[in-house]
Amino acid sequence: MILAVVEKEFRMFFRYPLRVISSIFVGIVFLLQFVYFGQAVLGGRYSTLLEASTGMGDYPTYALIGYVLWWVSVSPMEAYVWGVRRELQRGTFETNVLSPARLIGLLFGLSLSWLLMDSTLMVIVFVMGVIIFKIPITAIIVLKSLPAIAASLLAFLGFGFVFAGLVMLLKNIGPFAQIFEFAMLFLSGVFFPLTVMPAPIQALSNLLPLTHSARIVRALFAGEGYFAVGDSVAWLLLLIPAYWAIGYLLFRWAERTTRVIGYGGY
Amino acid sequence: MVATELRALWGVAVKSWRIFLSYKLWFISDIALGFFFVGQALLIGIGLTGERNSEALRELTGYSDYVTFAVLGFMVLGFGMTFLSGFVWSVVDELYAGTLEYSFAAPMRRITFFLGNVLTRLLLSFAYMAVYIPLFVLLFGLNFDIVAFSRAIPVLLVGTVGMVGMGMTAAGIVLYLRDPGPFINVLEMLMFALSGAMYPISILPAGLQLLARILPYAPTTEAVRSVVAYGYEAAAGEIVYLSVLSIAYGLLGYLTYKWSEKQARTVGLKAY
Repeated sequence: MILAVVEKEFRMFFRYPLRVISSIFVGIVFLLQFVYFGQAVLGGRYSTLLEASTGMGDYPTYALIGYVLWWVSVSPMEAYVWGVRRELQRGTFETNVLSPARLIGLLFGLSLSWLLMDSTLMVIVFVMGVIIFKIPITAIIVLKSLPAIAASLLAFLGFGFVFAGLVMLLKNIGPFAQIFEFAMLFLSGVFFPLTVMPAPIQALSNLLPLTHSARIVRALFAGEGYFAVGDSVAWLLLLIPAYWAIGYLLFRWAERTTRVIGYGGY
Repeated sequence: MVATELRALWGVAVKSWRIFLSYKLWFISDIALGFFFVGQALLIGIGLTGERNSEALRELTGYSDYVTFAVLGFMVLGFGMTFLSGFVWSVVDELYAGTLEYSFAAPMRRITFFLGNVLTRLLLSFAYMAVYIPLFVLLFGLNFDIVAFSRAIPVLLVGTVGMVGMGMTAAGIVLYLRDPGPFINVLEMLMFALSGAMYPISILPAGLQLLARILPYAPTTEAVRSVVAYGYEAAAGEIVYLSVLSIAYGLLGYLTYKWSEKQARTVGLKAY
């Protein structure tokens, strides 16, 4: 059933090629803004300060890794927030809820399909970023990064799951989700090192899977191994079950509540 | 006739305003967008250089204060996109809401419908600026000189002619697309990338620099920045170029829109 939802979402998304091109274009432009700004301010691409604080001095590589992971990390969240809303606008949400499938399965299918679609788009954006910014990369680095990326995807799915419950209870949380997505750029050090943030925010950033995913992958790209970022690996492995559990409990509570009061606003 | 159109214009503007305000969180989200861009600019600058000013940026643009540079770019872009977005999203929003046919069938000129939507976005744009400027001064230490900023207003008005023309051209095309959403996204992102809002266009590859210079956004941004920093005399070349470009886009917008209206009478609106 989950695969059927994934297939449906894929068919609908790739049915409009201009939509795919538009998504890739949006992804590239957004990235260019910040990388070119950083380069204009730096007068080049290398920052000794960035290297001292993060271990990676090449700004385009630093920004590209953080950005691509950020985009994928907010994808499940967007799937719950906008995917459900889109079904409501089409008038197909109630039909899906009434089908002999569990709601949790439908929503998870939605989330998984968006994560896979966004991951595909971001691979394209990443390759384009590598070409545009001439980023040094080898097959070994990519292979070494795969376990970290796989763990990150699991963590992002669990993190997004928290929003599945919220979207059932609240009417229009799109703007809230948008603010949260922007906040994650600040809290996870996507375009700048977290060392410029106050200590409490640095501590808070540990609770976001993206912070650790980006740190691990950047370390691997800088030639380090997993042991050099062992604390982030531990955090990431801890956050995966934690967010899945929180998301599931919140969803069950929201499901029970909506059985009594109905879907918020719909 | 004029009074009727003005009443219709007001009606469209009020309707758009009410729709926007019915989701108050959108207002907060839009305001947050400004803080997001300027905040990122500040933190990227500090994170990469450790300084509040950049010698490299000064050599490229004359601005060493990268926050002021980004704020000016962001404001011109926000103002300029009002016209493009007002023209094109008004069609898409009504299309998705299923009310476009009713709006077009209403006893008013189609341009009135577009201008009403632009008017609302323009008001919102001014409201955002009224929030941003004092808060940017307080939070980000924006170097705000009211006299220097006031000098930019006439230049912005000159650029507005071109940006309205661009919006009308896009509206003329959008009317004939089956699914205009992705086209608008691409168009908006193209304008964004080539607007010079966050970086000087001189760091772009040559082909993109050329494209940026023949669209109305980057020349407006550059002329505004130049006038704010150095005054009219030093920016004379940029102002003359902007004036020529704006007239060209104004004409292009008018002609494209007229053609699109004529086509609509002959073949109908293809997508709807």
